[in-house]
Amino acid sequence: MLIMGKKRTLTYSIRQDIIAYSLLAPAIVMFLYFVCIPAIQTFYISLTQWEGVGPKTFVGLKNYKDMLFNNEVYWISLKNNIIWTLIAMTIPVWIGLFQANLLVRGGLKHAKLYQLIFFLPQIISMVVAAIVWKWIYDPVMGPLNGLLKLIGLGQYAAIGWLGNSKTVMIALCVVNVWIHYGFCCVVFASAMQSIDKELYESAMIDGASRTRQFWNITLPGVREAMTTVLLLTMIWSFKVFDVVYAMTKGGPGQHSYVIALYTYMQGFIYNRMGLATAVTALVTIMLLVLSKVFMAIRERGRY
Amino acid sequence: MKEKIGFRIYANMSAIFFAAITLIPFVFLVFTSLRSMPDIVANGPLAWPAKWVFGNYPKAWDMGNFAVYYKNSIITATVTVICVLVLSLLGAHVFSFLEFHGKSFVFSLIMFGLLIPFQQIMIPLFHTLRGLKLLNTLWALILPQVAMQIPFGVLLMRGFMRDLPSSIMESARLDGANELQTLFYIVIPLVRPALVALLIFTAMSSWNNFMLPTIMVQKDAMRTVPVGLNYFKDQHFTDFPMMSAAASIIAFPIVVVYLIFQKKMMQGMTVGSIKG
Repeated sequence: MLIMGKKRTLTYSIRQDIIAYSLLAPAIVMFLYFVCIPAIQTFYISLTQWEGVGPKTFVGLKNYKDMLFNNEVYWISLKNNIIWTLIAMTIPVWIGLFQANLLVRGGLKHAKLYQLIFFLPQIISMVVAAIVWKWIYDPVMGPLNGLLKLIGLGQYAAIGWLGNSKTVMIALCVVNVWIHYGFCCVVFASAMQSIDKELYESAMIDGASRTRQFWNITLPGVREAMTTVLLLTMIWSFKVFDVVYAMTKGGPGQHSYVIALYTYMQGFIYNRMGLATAVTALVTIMLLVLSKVFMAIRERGRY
Repeated sequence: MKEKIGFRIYANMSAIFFAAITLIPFVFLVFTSLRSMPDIVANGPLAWPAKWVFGNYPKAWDMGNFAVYYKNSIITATVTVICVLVLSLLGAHVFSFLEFHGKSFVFSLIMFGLLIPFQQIMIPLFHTLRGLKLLNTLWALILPQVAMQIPFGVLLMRGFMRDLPSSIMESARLDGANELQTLFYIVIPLVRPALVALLIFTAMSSWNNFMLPTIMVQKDAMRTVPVGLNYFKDQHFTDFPMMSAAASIIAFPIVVVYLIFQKKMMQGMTVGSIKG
């Protein structure tokens, strides 16, 4: 800090340390005790066999081997989670981007109102969303099947969308698209507002079409927001729990398991702490690596 | 000119279409909550209510334990928000304006918390809280939420504090104000917008937190709103009007708050992505 420059020799002293650390102490203690130490313990527990009570037996990498080589449900969870992530990082992001472009560039009279509506699923509890969508998908009395019958697609209405192993993940991902695109739209819209208007004006004069303007001005203009949205979406997707737990609890069978649900079941229902922590440890490391890669790409884009 | 009008119409149509997609499930929710189960069985899910039934609301309120859930959620969110704001302000102030030994180490240690997903800590955390005999209490929700929010809170507030002109801080020091006085009388009034955003962000993540209370709380008397609603849903999964009424009871207050503070809420909830 500049202001400290001339006083540094005097103030950079024990007295200063005492003041600083006494103000920081509560935050540091809470952080260490409830976040930092548990995060490290997870790595240790993943190397042991432990039922949650009693002593931990050190077993080395056995949990990781079990997870990777002889655990079908883990692979189902991982596969589902990757499907979830890929859909979440594409469809809602693109809808949000196009919709934001239309709102900002179209100069809609009620642009703010539309954003307010799109954002609505963000503020309600995911359990409310789960209740609504469970009802919509209900095989016997759900509005979706009612609608299909009404428009003459009755043959598809026999499917219980959440009860069928082939459709359950798609049905859940649709809900996530519905939840997520409004967030993307609001973030992109606010990024687009800070793009220089003159760029568009001169593009108009040059006779560039709206599509060209979108690709050449808008998209580069929201580049920063785009990387942030994609990064956040990826992190959220690998942590997804609420919607899946509230809608299907992983069913039918284990066909809609995702990583977080798998960890929860192993850790808190079957009391296999070693296996559960091995899964989270691996996911955390993977997320760290992916985030780093993402940040590196983002930095490079900043010319 | 013609092209412009065409684009406008297209933009309007698209916006209306997506607004409808977002709103229709909520409309279904409210309509279903105002019908009776026999009516739905007889006339199908898409029919206009044969008779408006308002009795589902008081019935759902009585059958569920919602007053208790609301009380728990309000206490949890309030205490969490206060602790997060105080600790983030103190932390950010120290990191912005003071020089001390180990500063960059401590700062990177705390910032490391931004990268730790909740799943990474939940299993040891559960056993720590069990050891402290805090399971099935609201502390099991408050303490971890505060701790997990500190890194983001400190980062956000520090970002704003560092933009303050240094002359202000200097003159406060010359007047003999100590750190707490400077923070309270000078810094806080200047970073109020950021503080409001942090408040909203923390309050909403606490209010809607689902996984933490699912793990830490088994007793009905300690359930928060989302977990209580999920429990109610599992109890009454065949009674759609009742479930919808319960969900509406839970959604309604938050929607009202949202409509009152719309702009601040949107800013607060996207603050992570804009600043991050």
